[in-house]
Amino acid sequence: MSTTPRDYVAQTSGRPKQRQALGISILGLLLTIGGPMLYMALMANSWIRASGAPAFVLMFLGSMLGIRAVARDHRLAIRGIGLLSPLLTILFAYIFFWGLKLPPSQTFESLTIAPAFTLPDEEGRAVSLDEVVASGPALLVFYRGYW
Amino acid sequence: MTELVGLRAVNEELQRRGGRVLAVSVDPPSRSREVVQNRKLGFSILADESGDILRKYGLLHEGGGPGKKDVALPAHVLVARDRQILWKRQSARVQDRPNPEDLEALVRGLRLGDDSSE
Repeated sequence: MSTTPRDYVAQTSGRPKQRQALGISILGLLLTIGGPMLYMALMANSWIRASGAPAFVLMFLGSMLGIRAVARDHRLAIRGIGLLSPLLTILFAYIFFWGLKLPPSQTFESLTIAPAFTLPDEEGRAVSLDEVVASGPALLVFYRGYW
Repeated sequence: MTELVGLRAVNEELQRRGGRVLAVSVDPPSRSREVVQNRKLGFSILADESGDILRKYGLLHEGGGPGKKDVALPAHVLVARDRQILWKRQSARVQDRPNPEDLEALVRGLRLGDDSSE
């Protein structure tokens, strides 16, 4: 049986290196999970909200560590933990860019005059759009609500 | 919801011109009251619980919310006198919102004490 230099290194310095690979893969996974958490925390900033930058930076680093651990140590557990990071990153990117797409509205697109309305505010007082715009410009902000 | 916090300055700019921000969602007033108070928004959140007004604007996302609830499609509309639309924008993705600084600049472009409609 031939022994490659890599096997030789693995045999001679076995344990510490394996432990290292496990540590690296877990660190990678923590970074990967931390990515979306950091994103949620910083979401008030509209650039961060739209780009997802902090999530992708941490998830990319986490995935790199995971892949590095798998390259170093071929045990099943390391593979599982190490490959989970890139998988989660791909899943997050998929949801972020495709899963959260919203349907464009033809009706909204063609509006030139805002439809009139009277709706209750948070205290239950009726607010009429006509009355508001009679005194100044109104910015209507339609949002998905509390969740 | 955190997106509303960024609109405080936009609201102040509108108030200088006699106007204001009006947020609209399908949430009941009791829910929105928490948000207005806790986040010190300084502007109102209107409740379109039935979704009737959202439908008129073409902004009712049927089954688009958590638990297949009907919710609003996120959008921004700048309305002047006679309900004339000066500017509008629909979000392409859930996390996509206009930059509050851009909205502020947009409002600053309107004349003071006037809504700039003819």
